[in-house]
Amino acid sequence: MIDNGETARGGALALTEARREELAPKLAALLADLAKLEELDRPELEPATPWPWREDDDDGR
Amino acid sequence: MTADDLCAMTLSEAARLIERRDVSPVALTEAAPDRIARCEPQLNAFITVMADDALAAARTAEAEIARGDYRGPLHGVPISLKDLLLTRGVRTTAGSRILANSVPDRDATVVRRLRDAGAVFIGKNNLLEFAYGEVHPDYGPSRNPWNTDYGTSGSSSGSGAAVAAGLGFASIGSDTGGSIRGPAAYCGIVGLKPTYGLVSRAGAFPLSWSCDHIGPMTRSVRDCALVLDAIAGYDLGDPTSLRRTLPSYAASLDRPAERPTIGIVLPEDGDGVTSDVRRVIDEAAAVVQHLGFPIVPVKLPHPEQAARALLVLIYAEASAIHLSWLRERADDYAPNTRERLELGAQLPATLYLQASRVRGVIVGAHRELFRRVDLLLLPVSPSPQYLVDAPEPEPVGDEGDRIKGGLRFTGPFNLTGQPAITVPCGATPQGLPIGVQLVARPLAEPILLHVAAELERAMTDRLPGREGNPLVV
Repeated sequence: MIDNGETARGGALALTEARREELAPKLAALLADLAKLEELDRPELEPATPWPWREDDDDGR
Repeated sequence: MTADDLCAMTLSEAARLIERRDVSPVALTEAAPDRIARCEPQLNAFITVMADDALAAARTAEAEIARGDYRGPLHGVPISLKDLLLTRGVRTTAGSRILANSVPDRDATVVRRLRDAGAVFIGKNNLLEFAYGEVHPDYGPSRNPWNTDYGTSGSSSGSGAAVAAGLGFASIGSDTGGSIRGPAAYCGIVGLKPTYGLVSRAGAFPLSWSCDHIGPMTRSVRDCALVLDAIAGYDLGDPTSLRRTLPSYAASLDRPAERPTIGIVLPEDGDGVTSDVRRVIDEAAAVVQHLGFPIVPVKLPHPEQAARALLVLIYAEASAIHLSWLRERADDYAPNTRERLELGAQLPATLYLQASRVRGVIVGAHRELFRRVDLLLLPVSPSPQYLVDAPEPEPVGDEGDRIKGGLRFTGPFNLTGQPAITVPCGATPQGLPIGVQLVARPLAEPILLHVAAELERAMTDRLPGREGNPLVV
């Protein structure tokens, strides 16, 4: 790993301050749009699996 | 028959001639690199051309066939592979600088199955970097054979260009939000995203595990069925692989089929569909009705939310896949790929789980829709063209991710896992192809292919003219 003064923490990506500032408005715009997912979210549901359509729903024709 | 005549055949035609021993795999394979050499400077469809390996494989195939060991329709047929499928002993770059010199010691499952079927690999196709952000400048963009000022869409960009140009009889692409269907539609060929789990993802460099699909890109629906026959089936190497007894997809094309009900997706405000695409959808709808299919007008459930949910899953999963390279080799990514990956690493885990729940809602809505219809007919992309040398926009604008609109018609089926195919059905006034998409229930590829083949036959005379263009076959 290149030592660039950043500390990688489990699962997280450390960015330099300059890069963080550069991305901040884009991240804000992205999150603002993605927040609209809440309109369709149903918290009582569990997250869907990669095979979300139950097999007995298909008729395989 | 000239070398270009050989290259211009469909896979089905080439297979028939090989089986009858009217054409030799060596003759077919020798014709391919010659044509690649002539077309490639304008198309940039390949990252690696495997001329020597292909010729050796063709000679082996020819000897096997001569002694009566014919393996089936792919035996001795030259095809290409998107360069994110691992190929033993042949570099697999994923369109990246990071893997520029990576030579795998194993084949992807789909590659092994094609090898077992006797296919001859002529090369590895260009693509968007890691099938994601943009073309890496080390490789440059593929260009559309119908007009090289225009792009091929992505991410299986080289695959689309190669098949349309007769540089091999098929290619294998990957599709996480439309990356098979988009390039197929832009290049005037057939592209199938099979049911999730039908074709193994093992050995395909992932973009988003839960949304990635591997599938064929070909010059006809029948060719698509032939390739699917070779690559579909359970694989222990892919934890999401389906354990099912599968039909012969090519054989099912020859059986009489019922007339399934087709839902025609209606225009909506803000769908971004151009008048050219809308015209072709309307014409295709009229044609299927004329062919005797019952049609009903329908609305696509939650298309914008589906695009958002898909984007979250891709952002998060892709960033998790690339985390260590992001830390160590961030400068080696193309700027937009890096930006997407860095943004994805900043999304909260709760958003990923929320998108996964919304995925369930969207699946439920499509399940409801498919109680009323058997198939959907809809656009692939809202727009059929873009100039390939136009400046690449940054991934995120004021309204969020810029590709969201482009996912409207393809992305939902990466969430639901349903099979979807694109068939060339028309052209823009500039002579660029326009594809139409058909979607079926999970594992209903036989009826999907059947209807696609009927549509293909009925729309043949509406395709753009090839006259005077040496780059298309």
